[in-house]
Amino acid sequence: MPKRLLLGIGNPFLKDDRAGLEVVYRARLRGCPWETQELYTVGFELLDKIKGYQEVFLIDAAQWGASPGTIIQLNGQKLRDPHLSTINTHSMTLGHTLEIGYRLFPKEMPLEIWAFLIQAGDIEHFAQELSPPVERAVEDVLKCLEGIWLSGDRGAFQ
Amino acid sequence: MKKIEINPITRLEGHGKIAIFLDDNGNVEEAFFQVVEFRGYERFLVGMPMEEVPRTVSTICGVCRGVHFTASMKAMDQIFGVEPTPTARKLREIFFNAHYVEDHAVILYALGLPDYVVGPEASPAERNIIGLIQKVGVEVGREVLRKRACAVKIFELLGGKPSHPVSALPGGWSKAINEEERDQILAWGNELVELGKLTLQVFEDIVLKNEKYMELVTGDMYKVVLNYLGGTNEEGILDSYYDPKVYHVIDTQGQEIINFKANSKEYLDYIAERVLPWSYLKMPYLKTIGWKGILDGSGTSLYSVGPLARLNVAKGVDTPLAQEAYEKMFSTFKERPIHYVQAYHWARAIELLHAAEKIVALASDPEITSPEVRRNDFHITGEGVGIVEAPRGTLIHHYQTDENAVVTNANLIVATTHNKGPINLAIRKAAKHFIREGKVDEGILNYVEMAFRPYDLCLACATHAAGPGSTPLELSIFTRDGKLYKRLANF
Repeated sequence: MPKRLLLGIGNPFLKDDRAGLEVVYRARLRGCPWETQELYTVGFELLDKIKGYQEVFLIDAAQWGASPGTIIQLNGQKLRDPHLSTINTHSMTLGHTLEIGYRLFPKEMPLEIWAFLIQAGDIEHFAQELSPPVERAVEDVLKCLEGIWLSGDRGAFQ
Repeated sequence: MKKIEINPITRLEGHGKIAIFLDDNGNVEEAFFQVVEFRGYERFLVGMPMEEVPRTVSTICGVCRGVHFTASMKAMDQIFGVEPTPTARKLREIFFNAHYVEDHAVILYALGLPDYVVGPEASPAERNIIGLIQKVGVEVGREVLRKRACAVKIFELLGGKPSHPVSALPGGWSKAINEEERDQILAWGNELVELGKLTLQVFEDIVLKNEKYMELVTGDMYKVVLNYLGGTNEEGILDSYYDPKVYHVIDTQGQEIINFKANSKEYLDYIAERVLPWSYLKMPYLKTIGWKGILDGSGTSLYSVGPLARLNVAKGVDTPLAQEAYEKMFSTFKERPIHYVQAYHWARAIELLHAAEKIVALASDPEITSPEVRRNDFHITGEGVGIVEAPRGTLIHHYQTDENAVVTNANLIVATTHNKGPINLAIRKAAKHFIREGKVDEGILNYVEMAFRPYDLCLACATHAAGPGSTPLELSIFTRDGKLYKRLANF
């Protein structure tokens, strides 16, 4: 059985930014058999969390101009980004950190990384309730993940 | 007048930008660092039980999580009317030093050193940590990250939770350690000392031995003459980032002009904040001198905080290897205080080693495995001030509460806020030096960026926003009538 990790990224107090954490929380309640972790940053801590796993599912809220609740599913290889000049240490991106990981620790990094990015609607307000479209997206992501852990149905991951 | 804008476009962080104004000859007339977005953690904290505050403020920023946690924990001690037990204090200090090492390492290797290792005029696509790894080799890069991970492990072991700590108790620490854990911390601490030594060696080999780079480090284009604020023990020695006893302000000549008691409201007697119409971020200045404008030089009321400020203020540090490095830095510059912004990187490397040495010393203390880490003799005082020397500089958390220790007022002054004036001045100086006759390209833009990178601005902290973010840099040049005629981006 491959060693799998479900990792949610976000801020627990900011409305839609907590979407990734919410997926992990609900997945635990629904009996997710994989290891689960939360992370509030995408700096080098990300590497500490994912090294040693064979397959990792990352869930994160993001903004790329789509309608709130839109989901993008990406293979981690597509997220890798070596081309970043750094203004401050807070500007590390998910793709940049993954790239560093694969360059430095190719044997320890996961064979597969899958990312679900959920377009956030409101990341300005302090709240522990998601906006309705992001709430629906969280449930959609959970259904995909449940399909994998219950029956091996990889659906859109194929 | 032409206008050049450098825009860090954020995903989830506070939003800031740098605007550079050119005169009719294409030379720099003025430059401003603006913060154009505000999010209100301080308001969010009102109504929260004080004991919940440390783990809540640790989410202000994914990078600076440990510093807000620690400063608010110290304020919480005062609100509950208790001093931490000796062992709890030492565990907190190990935790804080571990956070120091991991944060300083990231700032140096991901932010400061790529300019020197890859070269200040290299393409933005190469001038980053990936480019640095290509230059110094995968083995060195791997070694640095592996050793840095030892600091994260200490942070997590003592903090009680990955990434964001939960161990703060009023007057205590929820995680006592046993002998086995102490041995593990010691082993990790020794690895971190090696990381500190390696980092200073890298700095020496790459920067100090390079004549061209030393011209940048000691050049007037990166010289900002300011006052400095930092904390020490009663003897003026930097022996703790977690709990300095006295705060000092030295003037541009190095003379002490102010000192005040740490962890008290006395800071309010000396620091005032100027509201600026063009930024959400207030600009602190020395109240005793009075607002003199955004000017450096003798008589300025602006002051700087952070690694260089701390070493400028302190008479020395209390560990042998870091003290040796401290003496070398001042003998190299042959002046005190050092006003060269690029020296922040050197000071940061020295502090990394110092914090690592402190971990080893504290973990070697026989008292560190004592189970006496909690107190219950609380009496609510209604007010608390926690001041720490965070990696980026002095961090102040000030709270008032009701009789049940529920927060009624919160004020946070972070390093990037203290440094707002210095950052403005550093950008203005570099821009005036490098941008001539309207000529702007990626290389020139980077020389301007090098003026503010040593401060490692945290807009998330400064605006009290939250979360990780992507901050690509964009520079726009506008014609006199406001039309965009050129745009440069480094992403």
